[in-house]
Amino acid sequence: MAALQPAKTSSPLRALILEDSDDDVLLLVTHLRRSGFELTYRRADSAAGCERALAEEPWDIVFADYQMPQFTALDALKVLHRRRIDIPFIIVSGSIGESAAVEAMRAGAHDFFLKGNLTRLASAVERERNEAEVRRERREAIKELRESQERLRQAVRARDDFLAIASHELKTPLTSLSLQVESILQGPDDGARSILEKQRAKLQSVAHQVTRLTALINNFLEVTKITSRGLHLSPTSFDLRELVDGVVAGLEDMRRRSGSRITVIAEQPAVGTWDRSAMESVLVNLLTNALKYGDGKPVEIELSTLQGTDELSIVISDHGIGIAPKEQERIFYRFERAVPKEHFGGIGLGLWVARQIVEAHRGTITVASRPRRGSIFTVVLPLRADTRSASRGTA
Amino acid sequence: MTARTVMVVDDDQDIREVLTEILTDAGYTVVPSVNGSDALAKLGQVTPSLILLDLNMPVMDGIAFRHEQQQDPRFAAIPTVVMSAVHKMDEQVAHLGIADALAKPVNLNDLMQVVSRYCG
Repeated sequence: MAALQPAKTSSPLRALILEDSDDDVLLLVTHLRRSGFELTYRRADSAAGCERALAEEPWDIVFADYQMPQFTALDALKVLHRRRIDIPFIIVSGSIGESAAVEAMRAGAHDFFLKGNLTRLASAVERERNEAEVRRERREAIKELRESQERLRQAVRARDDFLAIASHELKTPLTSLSLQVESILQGPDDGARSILEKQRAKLQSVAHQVTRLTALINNFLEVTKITSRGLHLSPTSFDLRELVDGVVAGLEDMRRRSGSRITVIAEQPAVGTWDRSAMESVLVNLLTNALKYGDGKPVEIELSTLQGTDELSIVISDHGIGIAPKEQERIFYRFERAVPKEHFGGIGLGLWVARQIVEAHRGTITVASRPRRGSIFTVVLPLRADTRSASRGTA
Repeated sequence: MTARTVMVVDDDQDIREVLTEILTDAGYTVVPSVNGSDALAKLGQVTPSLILLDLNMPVMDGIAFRHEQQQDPRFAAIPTVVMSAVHKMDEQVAHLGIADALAKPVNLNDLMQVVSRYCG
């Protein structure tokens, strides 16, 4: 408790003394110097003088008479408050009633003393100076924390802007590339322009790489959007069965290479209100995985409306390599995959993106899997996405 | 002279070239433009059956072009299809009153279907 003892050694103290009586200033100054403070001070007894002193120099402490002819301690407290100066403020008064003292403390004074009894003053000065220092350190720490949070936010924003711009820029050359390749593959086979089968196979491989790059760029963009601004759905009413057919058609090239057969099972139209392009991402990601890890065996995708509920389930099953039980939870996290990365391409964003989108629709996505038997991914969606509360972000 | 003419508005030279080549091979006349204001100038001389419009372009972008086009009674009725790499394009073009939208990288079959739908 050394800090609470009067300073025995010489301790510099810059004091602003608000006092109209010369004698009282002398009394206070003498007392403080005797208590061991190496005191420098300035005196003021008006609002203007107080303002000037605070504007011109830094102060460790303010001593104020409660009532001066032109000015009061409460006026001075207002000035400090307005100038956002947080230093100890101690009232030293000839007489102060209890209610006036309480009012002054409420207004921000830290302590009060009667001029006739200054015994505790030195220890109060030390204590209040330490407490002001603690408050200052805490303010600085909070300020630093806010600044570093802001720097982090800016860094994340810069990364996301970069990804969005880079993805956009990548798509333009990809467009020329894919159109050129497709136009060669689909061009008129009129002898003069025909291409050799071997060249055709190579071009098909090029086309496949273009598809992969496109999917990768789209996932980057999804992740960027979700992490930076949250996922905002734009639900429209459509038949999910048609979307599934479109996605399956788009993945035909990949399916052929995988050797798997895809069967769509849907007894009736699956009309609901969801974000179409987001749901397309979910289907592409799940089906791509089923083909990638499906070991060439059949893949089924089944849509069904759950009896007695307003929910639809999408079940995508493969009979491939499967996922070990301990891996099944973490595959939905970013950059996590259940297989050693040397064996399969990709960077592990697809299931994370799928989960964010499904959960934003207030749906669920789960996996059941056995190694070497295959995996079953089940998505359950409400038929109507609740758009009022469906926007969410996950950093 | 206007039948089967497609105006391609895109600031990327490679895109203009590949679209010109593919559409010319398919029997269309292609009028390439490098941005919105170039396209407006050319619309004074030719009336295409279809405009394929990029969004992000210098000088005058696709959205500004579309507003100008809609305000000019000579051009307002020309079917316009946006072809862009912007993310969530559907949301960005929702208020443009366009005939269709193709996301880059565009699929050749989708492109040919859209072009033949509006050019016959």
